[in-house]
Formats: sequence, structure tokens, C-alpha cells
Amino acid sequence: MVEEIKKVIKGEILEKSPQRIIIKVKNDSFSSTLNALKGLSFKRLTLFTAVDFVKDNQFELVALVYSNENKILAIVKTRIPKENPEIETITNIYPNAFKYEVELGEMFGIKVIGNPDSMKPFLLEGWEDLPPLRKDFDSIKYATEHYEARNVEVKYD
Amino acid sequence: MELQETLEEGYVEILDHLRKRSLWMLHYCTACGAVELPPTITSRFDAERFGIAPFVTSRQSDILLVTGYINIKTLKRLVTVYEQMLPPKYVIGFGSCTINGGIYWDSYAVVKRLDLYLPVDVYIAGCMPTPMAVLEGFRTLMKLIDEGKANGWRKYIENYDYYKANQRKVLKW
Repeated sequence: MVEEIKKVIKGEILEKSPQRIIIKVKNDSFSSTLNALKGLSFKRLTLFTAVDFVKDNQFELVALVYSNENKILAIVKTRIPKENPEIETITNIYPNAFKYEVELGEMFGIKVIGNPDSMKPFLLEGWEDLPPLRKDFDSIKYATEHYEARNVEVKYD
Repeated sequence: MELQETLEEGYVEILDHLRKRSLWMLHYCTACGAVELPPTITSRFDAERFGIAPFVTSRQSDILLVTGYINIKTLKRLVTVYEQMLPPKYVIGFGSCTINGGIYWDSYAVVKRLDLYLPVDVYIAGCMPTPMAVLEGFRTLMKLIDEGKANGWRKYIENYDYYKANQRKVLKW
């Protein structure tokens, strides 16, 4: 299976085991890699999300696709810059990526071109701050500023 | 005139006394608190022996049981549900999340105090409250109704501007 994948994709394989393959690709060949993997029986998208790398000033997109026939999980990773992040939609390959892409827009501020619901509020209605899953967003500061706490005296025996 | 007033007061007292024995509960299960309700309602602890039964619509319910944390999206629906209910109506805050945020005190989406947005009659503390604690909360509410002290819905009407201002602050309506 690994040999077949190596033939098809343009990118490096970081880790391979009987049940898991991690593939790192360039930004522009992300959707073509997923398309090729779908042809190799990886027909189920189990997760599509992003990770914020603050020091590198980059987002890492992570897509987990699973092959029911060969029982292998393929993890496809790519890096995109953090300024005005934009990606192409992958709903034409995996339709269930729709809500994951809405989540990318809402929680990380990544705009998905081709997804009509991108950047529309789904969970956070009326949100005006930084997207909350970015690492430079301070959750405790936001909570103390916006939601009033109860003043209680805590006594320990 | 005096006789009529006395009769009206007595009538209200009798109504309160009867009302406490037939409370229908709308369980607004926002969070993990919902798992304590099936044992409370079913045969082992059997909340119906106190006249408390779960009900499905907001218009016919008397108690709004808020089980767990309230985030912004939930709060909007919760306020709508509460305003749909007919008075007299009572709110029970269930679990420490409704009291001070609980373990979600630092979350960006969870409001910490329920009583800023809705008038809470009884709080049940705990994370999670056991079925015994839930029944104790129900009994406390029944006692308050009997004594005529469960006036949260009246407070909501009288202080409507205060509650609406608090709601607008977080909901940005």
C-alpha cells in the first residue's frame, strides 16, 4: 500500500506503520493528494482541522482519511501562512468536509473558497474577537472581561 | 371589603398549596447534567410521587430545569423558551455550572451566572448533583411555593429592563 501511495503523491512520507501513514505535502498539491488517495480506497474523511503554530506563523491543515478495505489511516498535512489564510474547498472530493470547513472559518479564521457557508457563524453567534482556537487568543482574559463572575469568599478548613 | 380581601388572600394561599403538588418540568438538557434525570424520574427515586413529571412543551410546563453550562448560543434559545412559558413559572439552576461557571469558568463561550439572565428560584449545587440532591431541590421549591416565596417570574416582569440589558450585553441583539 505504501508503495502505491508513493507512486501517486508528490510529498514526503514522515511515518509509516501497518495502520498509519503520515504524508506531508506542499500547499498547492493538498487537494490533488486527497483526490489521489480517494482513488486508492481511502474513501472516508474522519477529520479535517487545523493546528496553529504560533512560532512559525503558520497554520497546519490536517486531514485524516481512512481506508475501510485496507484498514489504514492516512494523515495528510500541509502548512499555510497565517496572514489572510485562504484554502480551496475539498467538498468536491469529500462532501462531509462541509461542516469542518465552516469550523475552520469560525475557530481559526481560515477562509474556504468554494464553500458557501465559510466565515458564517455557526456556534459563535455575534462573535467579534479573534477566532478562539488561535493560540494568541487569551480565553481567560476574554471570559473575565465579558462574563461577570460571582463574588464568593472561599474558605478552606 | 375586608372580607373580600381576606377571601382573596386565602384563595391565593389555597392555590399555592395545590399548585406545589402538580409541577410539570421542562428539562432543558444543555449538558452532562441530563444523565442524572432518568434515575430521578424513573422508578427508583420516582419524582412523580411529589407530583413532578417531565413534559415536552414549554407552554404547559411550570419548572424550567437548566441542567448544566449555558453558552451564548444556548442562552438565546433558553430565554426564548422561558418567555414562552406561562406564569407562574419557576427556574431551577442545576449543577455548579449555573452557579459560577463550574469547570468552564475560563471558557470563551460559557456565561458564568444564570441569575443575571433569568430569575432563578432554587439552585442545586454539585458537579454532578445526585438524584437525592435533585429531589431535595424539588422539595425546597415546593416549600417556597407553599410559602409564597417563589416569585422569580414576578421579579422577571418587574425588573424586565435589568434582565434584558444583561442579556443584550452578551447576546448582542
